[in-house]
Amino acid sequence: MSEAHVSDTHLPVAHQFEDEEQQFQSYSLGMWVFLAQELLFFGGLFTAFIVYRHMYFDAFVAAHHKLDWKLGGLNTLILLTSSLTMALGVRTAILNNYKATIGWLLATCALAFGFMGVKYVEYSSKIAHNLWPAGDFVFKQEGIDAGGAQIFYGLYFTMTGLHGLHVLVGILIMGWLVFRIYFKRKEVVDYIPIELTGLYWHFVDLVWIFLFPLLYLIG
Amino acid sequence: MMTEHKMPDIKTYVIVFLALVGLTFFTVYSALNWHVKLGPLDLNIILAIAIACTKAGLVIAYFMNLKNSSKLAKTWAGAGLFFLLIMFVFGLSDFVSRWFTVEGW
Amino acid sequence: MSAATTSQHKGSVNYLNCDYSLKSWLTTLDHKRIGLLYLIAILIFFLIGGSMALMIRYELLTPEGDFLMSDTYNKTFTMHGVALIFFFLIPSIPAVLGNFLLPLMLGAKDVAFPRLNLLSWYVFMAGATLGTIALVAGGVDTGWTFYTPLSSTFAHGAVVLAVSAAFVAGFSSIMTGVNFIVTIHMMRAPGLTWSRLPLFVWAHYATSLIQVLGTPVIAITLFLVGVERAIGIGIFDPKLGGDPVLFQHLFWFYSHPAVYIMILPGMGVISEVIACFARRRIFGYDFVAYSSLAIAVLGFFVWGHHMFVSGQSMYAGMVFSVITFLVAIPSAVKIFNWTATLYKGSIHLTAPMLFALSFMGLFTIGGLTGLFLASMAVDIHLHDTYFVVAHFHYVMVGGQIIAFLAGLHFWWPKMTGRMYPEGLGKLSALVTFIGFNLTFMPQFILGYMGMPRRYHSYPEEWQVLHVLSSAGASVLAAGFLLTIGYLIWSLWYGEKASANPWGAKGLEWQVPSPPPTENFEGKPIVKEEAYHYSPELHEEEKEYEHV
Repeated sequence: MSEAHVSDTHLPVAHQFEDEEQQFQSYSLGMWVFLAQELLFFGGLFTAFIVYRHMYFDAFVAAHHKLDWKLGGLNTLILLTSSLTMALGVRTAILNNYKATIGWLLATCALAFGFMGVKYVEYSSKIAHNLWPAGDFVFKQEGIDAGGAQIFYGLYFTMTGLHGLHVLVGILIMGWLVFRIYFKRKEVVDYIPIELTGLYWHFVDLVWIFLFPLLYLIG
Repeated sequence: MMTEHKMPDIKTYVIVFLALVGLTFFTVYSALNWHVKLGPLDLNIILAIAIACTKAGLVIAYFMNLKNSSKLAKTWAGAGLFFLLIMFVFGLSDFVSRWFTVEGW
Repeated sequence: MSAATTSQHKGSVNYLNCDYSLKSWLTTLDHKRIGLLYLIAILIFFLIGGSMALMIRYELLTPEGDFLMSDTYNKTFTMHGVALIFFFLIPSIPAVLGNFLLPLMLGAKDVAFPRLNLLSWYVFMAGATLGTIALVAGGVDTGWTFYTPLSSTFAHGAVVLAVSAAFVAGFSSIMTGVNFIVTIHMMRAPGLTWSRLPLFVWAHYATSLIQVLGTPVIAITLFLVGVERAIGIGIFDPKLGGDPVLFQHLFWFYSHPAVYIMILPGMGVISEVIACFARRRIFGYDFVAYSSLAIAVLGFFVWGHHMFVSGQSMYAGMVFSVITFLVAIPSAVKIFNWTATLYKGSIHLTAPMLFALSFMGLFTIGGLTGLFLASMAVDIHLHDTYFVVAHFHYVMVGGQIIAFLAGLHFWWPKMTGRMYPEGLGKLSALVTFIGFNLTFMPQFILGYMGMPRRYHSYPEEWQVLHVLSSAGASVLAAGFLLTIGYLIWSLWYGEKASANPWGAKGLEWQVPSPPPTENFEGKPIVKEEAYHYSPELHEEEKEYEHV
C-alpha cells in the first residue's frame, strides 16, 4: 500500500533548525496543530447547527428541501476530485517532478474555480427566491416556523460562505505555488509548502464532506 | 541528512478516490429513498453522519497521509477532534435537558 | 526602542546592540526582539486599560453617578475589559516572557517559526489598531463579553469594530500558540527531556493548548455577532427564535479556558522564581508539571458555570458545577507544592521573590472564592455582583499581573543587561500588595451585600467601602507607575548585570546578559534535572557542556 521514498536531494535548512528532518517534522506538526485550530473554528458553526436543528427540526427539514442536492452533489464530486489531483501534486513534488506538480496544481485550481462557479449559481438562485436571510426573507409553508427556516439559511450562508472563503484562499496559495515553482525554480522543488498546502486543501474538502449531507440531504 | 517519506502509491490514491465517490452516491441514494425510523431515532441522519465520518477517515488517513505521519501529528489531530466533541456534547447537554421535569421539584 | 541603547559593553555583540535601526527592529525575526516589541505594545494597552480602571474607581467614590454619565461609564468599563484582557493579559506573559525565554530555556537558536512569530506581532498590532479606532469612534457599551442580543441589536457604538479587533488579535494568539507547541516539541536541546524541562515551559505548553484549541471558537462566535450586526444574518436573534444562550455557550467555551491563559503562564513564572530564591528543587516537580496540563484540559469542561442564571438547563448546571470544583485540585497542588518548596529552603527575599510570595497569597484567595461561585445556590446570590469582580481581579491582577512583575524583575537583567534598583523593587512589591488588597477586599464585602457590577450609582451606606476601594486603586496605580518608572530608569542607569546574577539554574542563565542574537555558542547539552540548586546564592560555574 505504502511505499517509502528517500529524497536524495537537499533542501535548504533554516537557521533555527539542525537538519532537514527536524525542519520537516516541525512544519508538519505545525500544520496539524493549525488544522486542529481550523476544526474548532468550523466546530462553533457545527455546534450552532446541531443545536438549532434540535430546536427547529421541522423548519430545518422543510428549509433544506429548497436546496438543490444535485448541485451540492456535483460540488462534492468536484472537491473530491480536486483532493485527488492535490494528493498527486504533492506526490510528484516529493519525487521532484516539477512539471507534473505544476500540472496537478493547475488542475486543482481549475476544479476549485468550478466549485466556486457552481456556488455562484446556487447563491444567485437562492437570493432570487428570497432566501437570503438578511434581506426580504420569505418562507411560507403550512405549519412551519419561518424564523427557524431563516436561521437555517443564516447558517447555510455563513457555513458555505466561510467554506468558500477557504476555497478562495486555497486558490490564491496554489497560484502562488505555481508561480514560485515556474519562475523561481532552483535545482530542487521545495516540497514542504506544497505538502502543507495539500493538507490545507484536504481539510477544506473534509469540511464539505460534512456540510453536504447536513445541509443538502437531511436538513 | 536525508528525509524519508512514506506515502501511498498512485493505485491507492485512485482506489480511495473511487471509494469516496461511491460513498457519495450511496449517501445521496439513502437520503432520498430510505426513510427509516427506529422509534424516536432517525436512522437517516445516523447513516449520513456515519458515511461522512468514513469518508473523512479515508481522506485523513490516505490523502492527508496521517497514516504515515508522526505520532505527534496524530495526537494533535486527535486533540482537535476530542475538544470538538466536548463542545458538541457539553453544549448540547444544556439544550436537551432544559425542559426536563422531575416529579415533585 | 529605547532598550536598544542600553548595552554599551564594548566588544560583546548582543541582540540589542547588533543593529540600532528602526527597520532592523520592525523586520526582526529574533524571538528576543519580538518579545520586546510585544512588551512595548502591551505596555500601551496596560496604561489605557489602567487609566480606565482609575476612572471607574473615581466615579464610584460617590453614590451618585456624577463624574461619568451612565453611557460613558458603560463604555469605560467595556474598554477597560477589552483592552486589559485581549490586549494586555492574554499576550502578557506568553508573548513577552514566553517569546523571550522559551528558545533560551530549550537551548534553541530561535522558535520553530520565526516569521510566523513576527507576523503574530503585526496581526496583534492590526487588532490593537482596530481596538483603538473602536475606542475613538464612539466606544462600545456591551461589556467585554459582547452578550447578544445587546451587542448584535441594541447597543450603540462601534461594536463591529470592537469584535473585529478581538477577532484579529485572537489569530495573533493562535499563531503564538502554534509556534510554542512546535518549538517545545521539536527544538529541545539534547538531553533536555520532558522531565527535565523548566516548569515555565510546561506551563506555556498548557497555555498554548488553550490558545490553539479555544481561540478559534471565540473567533467564529464574534464573527457571527459581527455578521448579525453589520449584515443582518441573525443566528442569535431572538426575533427569529435564535437563542442568546447559545452565544454564551460558544463565548465561554473559549473565554473560560482563556481565563486560564491568564493564570497558567503566571504559575510557570512563580515556579522558576520560588525555586531560585528558596534554593531548592520544586517539591513534587511531576505533580506541578502535570497540574498545568490538568488545569488546561479541565478548563474546557466547566464553561457552563458562567450561565447558572442565564436560563441554562439546571441539570447541565449541576454537571458544570461539579467539574468546576475539580479545577481546585490541580490549582491547590501547585500552591501546596510551592509552599512545601519554601519549607526548609534557604529563602532570599529579593523583589521577584516578594512578588511571588504575594502571588501565592492573592491567588489562593482568588481561587478559593471561585469555589463559592461554583456552587449553584451561592452563585444565584453572588452572580454579577462585586464578589465576582473581586474574585477574578484577585486571579487576574493578583495572579497574572503580579506574576508578570515577578518574572519581569527576575529576567530583567537577562533581557536588558541591567539590574533594576533592588530597594525600589521591594518597595514596589509592598505597595502593589497593599494597594491591591485595599482595592479588592472591600469589593468582596460589597458584592456579598448585593452591589451589582456595571452600575455607576449605589445606595449611600456602601460609600465607605467604595471609598476604601478607590483609595486602594490609587495606591495600586502608584505602585505600578513606580515600577514602570524605575524599570525604564534602569535601562540607562541600572548597574550592569552579569550573566547569572541570581545564581539561577536553567539554560537561559548560561548565556551572556543580554544574550547574543544566536543565543548559544554551539549546542548546549543538558545533563541534569531542572532546579538542581545548592543552598547558597552565588554565581555558579557553567554546568552545561557546549559542543
